[in-house]
Amino acid sequence: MTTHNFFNPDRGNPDWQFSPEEYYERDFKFLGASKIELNKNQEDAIILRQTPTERGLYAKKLHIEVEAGALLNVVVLNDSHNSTEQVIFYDIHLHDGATLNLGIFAKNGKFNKHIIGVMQDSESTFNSYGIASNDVRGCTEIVTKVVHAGFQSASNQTILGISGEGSQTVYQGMIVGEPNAIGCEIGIENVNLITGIGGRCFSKPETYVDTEFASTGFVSETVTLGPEHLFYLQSRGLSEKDSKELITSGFKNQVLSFIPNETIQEEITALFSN
Amino acid sequence: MLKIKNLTIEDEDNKYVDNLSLETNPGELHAVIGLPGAGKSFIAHAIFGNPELAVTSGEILFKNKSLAKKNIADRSKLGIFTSFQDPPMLSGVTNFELIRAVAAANKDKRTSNELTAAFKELCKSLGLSSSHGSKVLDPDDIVDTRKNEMLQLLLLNPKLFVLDEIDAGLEADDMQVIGDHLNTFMTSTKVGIILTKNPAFLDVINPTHVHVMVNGILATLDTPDLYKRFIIDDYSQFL
Repeated sequence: MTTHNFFNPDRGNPDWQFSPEEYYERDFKFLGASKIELNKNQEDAIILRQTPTERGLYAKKLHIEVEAGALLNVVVLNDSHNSTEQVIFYDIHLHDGATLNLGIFAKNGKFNKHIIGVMQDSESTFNSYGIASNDVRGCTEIVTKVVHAGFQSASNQTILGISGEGSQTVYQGMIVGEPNAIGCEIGIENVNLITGIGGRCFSKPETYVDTEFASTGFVSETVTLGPEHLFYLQSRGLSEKDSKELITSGFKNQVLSFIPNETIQEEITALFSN
Repeated sequence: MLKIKNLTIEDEDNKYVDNLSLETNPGELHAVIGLPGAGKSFIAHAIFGNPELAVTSGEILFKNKSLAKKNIADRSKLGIFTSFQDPPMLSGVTNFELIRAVAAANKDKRTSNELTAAFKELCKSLGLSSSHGSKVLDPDDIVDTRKNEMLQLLLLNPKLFVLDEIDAGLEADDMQVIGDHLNTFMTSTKVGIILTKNPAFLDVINPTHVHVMVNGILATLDTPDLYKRFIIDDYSQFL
């Protein structure tokens, strides 16, 4: 069984003081890889439900290959146990004119990290949306590295982080526009909500654009659910519990609308309501 | 209906409300005017039950029963509504979703269709856009924020309401819209308390009682229109 170290700082991992440093230099057991391939001009939609039960530190890899002109929708539902310590690595290649809509909904875990590496060829589109949520005093992370290698490629990311008491979420989005990526479009939106005392949300969007006629934009915002939010709703008759639920569900709705399937929307709503 | 008796709110640094007493009866609209920092908003916070308020003495009675042991939500369910001067932003919660949640929490008897119809009608009447329900309120949009507070007041139909600077930042036209709705809303069974720093707003509403607040002290004018006789640049002349 091979082992991997995914925490070499050169790979662009968060290096600020609140990183889970205990995981640096430790090897994760690599449990195996899966592959999703979509042929030219095909369309498909896939739901991946991850409910890890493995013990110890482990890593898995998913390779996604979307051929020219194809359209793939993938939704990942990751519901991790409090003691889960895992890294899921998504190795993605979008060929010319391909589109991938990737939803990642990762909940809880002691250490629950999703590293998404995307190579985009010309006129390809990568839309990523999702929620990293943790309220079990662990850390849930979504880390993306997107390389625009071809002209007029586009990537858009809308990722929410929700951290409860003593918990942590991390979003790091590194986007690279290579010289051949003329006219590429890059958008990042990371909005976070801290709902409990000692909760932390970390946000690090970065863009490195070395091409012409590119357009980039990013938004990073972190809001703490404060007494003024609760007082306002309670003054309208809502209990404290209902007030928190309204605020967090409204927050989550910002990405749920991206999910094309209503049944999946309901499943995700239920997952994050527990 | 509402009685505030000898209320004092203070901390180590300041006395924000000083031995304030106020008695209201059904059908009365009380206006409290004063400069920023006079302590007006503390009245609103004391009535809605802000637990972080440093009330050092006094009591508040609603229908002759003390509110001391009632939390914020309980006071709301008794029929007390307070508008916020600076409502917080609720990301992702649309204006109508908020109303729907509030209606559910208050066991509103209207059906979903009835609530929707009432909401739309009030939006039109207040001059809010037809898409107001599907928007998330932007606190930086002063006009929408003020009118949204009015919208909630009118939909919830409370017995006692406190409006904290509901006119602040509004041009004359929008102030008139707010005032017209307020005048229509007032009945012989309701009590309203309007907190404002703008005497011009009193010209738009019909207060039955006018009080002046300076440095936490409340003084009641002998007649409500007395404020018109003075140029209001120094409220201390009323003490």
